Amino acid sequence: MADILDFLIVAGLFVIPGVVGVIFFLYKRSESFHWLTRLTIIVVVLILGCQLILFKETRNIFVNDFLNFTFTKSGMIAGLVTVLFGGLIFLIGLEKKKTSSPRWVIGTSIISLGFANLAFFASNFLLRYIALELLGLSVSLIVLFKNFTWTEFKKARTVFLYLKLGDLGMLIGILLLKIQTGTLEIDKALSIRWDIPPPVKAWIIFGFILAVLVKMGVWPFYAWMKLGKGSEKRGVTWLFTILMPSLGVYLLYRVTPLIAVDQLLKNLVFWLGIVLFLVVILEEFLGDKLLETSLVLGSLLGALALTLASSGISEVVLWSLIIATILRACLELLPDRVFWNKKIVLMLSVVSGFVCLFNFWSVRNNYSLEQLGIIFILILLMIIWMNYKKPSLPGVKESGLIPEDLQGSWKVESIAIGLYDKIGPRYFQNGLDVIARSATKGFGRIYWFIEIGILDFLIRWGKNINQKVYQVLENRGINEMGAMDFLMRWGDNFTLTFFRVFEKWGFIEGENYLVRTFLQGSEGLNKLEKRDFRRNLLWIPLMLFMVILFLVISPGFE
Amino acid sequence: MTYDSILLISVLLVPLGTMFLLLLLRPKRKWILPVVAMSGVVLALISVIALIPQLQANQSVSIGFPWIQSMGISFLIQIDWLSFPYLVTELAVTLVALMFCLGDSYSLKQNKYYYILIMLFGLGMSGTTLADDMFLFYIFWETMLVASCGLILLWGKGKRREAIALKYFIITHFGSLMVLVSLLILYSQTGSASLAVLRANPIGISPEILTLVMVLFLIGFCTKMAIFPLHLWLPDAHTVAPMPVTIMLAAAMLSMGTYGILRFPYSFFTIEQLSAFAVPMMIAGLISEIYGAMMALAERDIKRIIAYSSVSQMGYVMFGLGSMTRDGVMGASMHVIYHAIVKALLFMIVGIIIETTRRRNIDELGGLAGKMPWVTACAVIGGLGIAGMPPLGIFNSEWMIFSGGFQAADIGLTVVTISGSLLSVIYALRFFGYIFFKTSTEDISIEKRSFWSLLPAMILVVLLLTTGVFPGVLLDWTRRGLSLLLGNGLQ
Repeated sequence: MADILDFLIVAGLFVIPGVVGVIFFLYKRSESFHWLTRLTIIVVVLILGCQLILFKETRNIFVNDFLNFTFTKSGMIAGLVTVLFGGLIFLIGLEKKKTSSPRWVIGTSIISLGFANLAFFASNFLLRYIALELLGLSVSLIVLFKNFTWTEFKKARTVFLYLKLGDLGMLIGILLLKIQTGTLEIDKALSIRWDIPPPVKAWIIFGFILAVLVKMGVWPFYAWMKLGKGSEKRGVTWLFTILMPSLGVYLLYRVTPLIAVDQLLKNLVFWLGIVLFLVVILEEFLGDKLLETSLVLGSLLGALALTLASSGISEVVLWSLIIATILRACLELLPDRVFWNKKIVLMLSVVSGFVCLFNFWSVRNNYSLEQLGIIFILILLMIIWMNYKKPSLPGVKESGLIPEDLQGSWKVESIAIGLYDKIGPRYFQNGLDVIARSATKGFGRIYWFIEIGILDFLIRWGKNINQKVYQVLENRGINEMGAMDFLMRWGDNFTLTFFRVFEKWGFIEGENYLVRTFLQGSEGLNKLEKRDFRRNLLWIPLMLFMVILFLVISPGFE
Repeated sequence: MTYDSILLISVLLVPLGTMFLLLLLRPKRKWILPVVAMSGVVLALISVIALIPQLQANQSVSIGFPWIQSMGISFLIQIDWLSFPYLVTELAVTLVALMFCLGDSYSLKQNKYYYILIMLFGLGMSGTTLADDMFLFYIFWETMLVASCGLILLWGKGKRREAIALKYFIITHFGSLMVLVSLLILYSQTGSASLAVLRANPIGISPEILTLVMVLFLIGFCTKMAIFPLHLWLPDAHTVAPMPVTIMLAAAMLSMGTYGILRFPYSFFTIEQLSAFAVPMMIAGLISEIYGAMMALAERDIKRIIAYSSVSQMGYVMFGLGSMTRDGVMGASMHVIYHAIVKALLFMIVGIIIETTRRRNIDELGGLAGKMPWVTACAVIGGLGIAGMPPLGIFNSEWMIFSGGFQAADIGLTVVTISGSLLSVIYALRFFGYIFFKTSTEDISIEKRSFWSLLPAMILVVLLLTTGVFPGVLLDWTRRGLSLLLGNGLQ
């Protein structure tokens, strides 16, 4: 009985996707593609779901010395969430693009599903490595298969190279771990981790984390994800936004025990996560070109997962996989709304946000007060980013945070750059000049950002004064016309003076997104276009921050 | 004379007999010459394969005749598990090179002496692998050089073929002389020319002489392996030689250097005696790997791109050998075999492209994927193979080489080597990307080609996939030879 079950599991998870994928390559009748695809994904989901429900213990399937699989609860949860949400996006995309998706693209996507299952459930590192390499190849081929043009090839080449870089990192980790432990079996290798000398362990962690960062698409490795998604709105994007990042986080989940036993490594991983998080935020603020929300959010969540891994507790990393997958799926599904109500998507985002909170809360004792403080500051930065980032949709080409046509008119920035060009090159040469110039530009923008904040405050303050004075005048029985005169003279003039001053400094009212955002709540100038639905998500991180603050502060630190 | 001895001697005699047969032939059809040559190589290959049961039982098969008795020199040949994989590789490469001749219009136009020299080239390699006497080894070693040099000189393409043949001869002969000097030193120190006698017990010589011998051996064999900076002969020779000869040079003859290192210093000395050379050899391998890859990226001639990739790939082999670990040395031997398959495949692709488009500058090519889908598929598989993509063979050997590197030296050195392998991926992608997927500015006309030109390439693809997915046989072959190396220090 057990043998038949093993056979069914292996066939369902690995063989069927492979065979179906190959059929797509050989068989040209496109009307069969959709039900075959649906059927394959349903089979995989059912196998994983049934196993998860029916089998309480870890299940091992040994085909031979090399092909052996371990079905742990965590692995099945990770696989199920990934396939479920990824498959959903894939199928929706397929429905939308029935005629235009070449069968090679669909076929390779299905084959990728088989490789992904291999990577999730392989018992030994070698098999997992091979599965990930092949997955990288198939993902790159999908990019190429879209059109078979030179442009697509260049994109596919970049995707492949990035993923290969990550794989080489993983290779370093695996080989060193194998030499130290004498085995490639993942569970055994990770269970005798205590004997590894610290420098070797540092290299192992370096290798694995490189692989994790590339797969998760964390800065600076998200370029492959951006290229991979390309103009494709949905469909195969599940490979880039759901599958590969999930495998990255799952890899992190597996190696977290290695981080746990060394305080220095824990600190290093923590700071790496923090630095990556900050860099992504800063790049978003200072960069001229904005990335898709899902890419940036994915990068931020990846950095947060790394920060969580520094706690040394695997479970929280697994939870962050689930959160990240659901959040990414929500962002991908949002524009479609094929059968999902917007509110359901929103609710899922909120739920995943709560799980994120729970995650940090559950490991709070593993961090110092300072570290917790830093994490909260990061979340605050994320809120700011969410607030001031221009609304975006997956696949939509976006302009910069600050429109290019306005850039030249900014006095602060242009003065800073002008000063730099006169003085800077004397001191910064050989490449440093480029960095220094950008930094100057960045400082100019930060200064401008603070300045516009003051402007906003003054405008709001002026409006409040206006209202109060109006009220007072009315209470005193002064007629409406008189009150209006008064305000024209003292109130609005006060506000408008500020406007005019700042207008001379280069701010053109109504054309700058930030100016519009700031003015939206004041001055009655909110006759702007209707907010994009995405912006309604803004309250989620804000709420998260509030609840975190409450949870952390209420019991006190021990 | 036993059945096994007959099989062993026939590995040399059958090709020799085939050469005489070719000399006598006056064929009316041009395909007869390569077919006759192929049949000789096939028989030799069958003879080698038939020796496997005997090798499994007794570890080696040998046969010898007295030759110059006053100097203790004999005609002594032996096959053991160290030489077996190399011999099979050389014969198989010679076979596919001859098979390629059937579809190569240039080769089909040539006379019988062309095929006789190809057979002599193959015979030189087989003899070098089987020789169990140092002077016999050197004679075959030089035969190999003279035959290949003759092929470049007489049938090479381009105006500079004489100059390039001379350059090839001088540089590789310099390497051969280094080997000869070290052999003479060993002969003077031990009084025996028999390799079996020399490897029976580790040679006890002073550290200074050991260093001298080892340095000379390394210079000699690294010249044959085309390790930087001794690679100077390779790009030109590969470019000028006719395609079947290029295939043999790149896929088989380069492996002779590796075999030389294993057969001589690694068989004669213990791991303790050679440990001082480990890190320098690994560094030499690393430099060669990166230099070859960078040059492959910079080159525009598609034949030279693949030629430089040999410099890079031999760097991996040297790195593995330098690790002096079980994994590293096994990996190096496996890499030689996989490299032979991939390199033969890629040169065949290059040959087909040059013959059908009459172009060899990568910038002048492009958009061939739609016109030559099967060639494209073979090239992509070959390119991914050289890039170390699993399950395409080279991945297995690289895995073992890197593993050996981590066991042997500072981790950083191996990490740099692993990182350097990304360059292989880049030049492989550039190679097939530019040729097959880049948008061509003009419509490239494709000349009709024979089915025979692609058949050996497809066979190699199947072989690459099969040996990559099921590396057990190759692992077994290379593992068995380890007991003969470094004073049994790799077990």
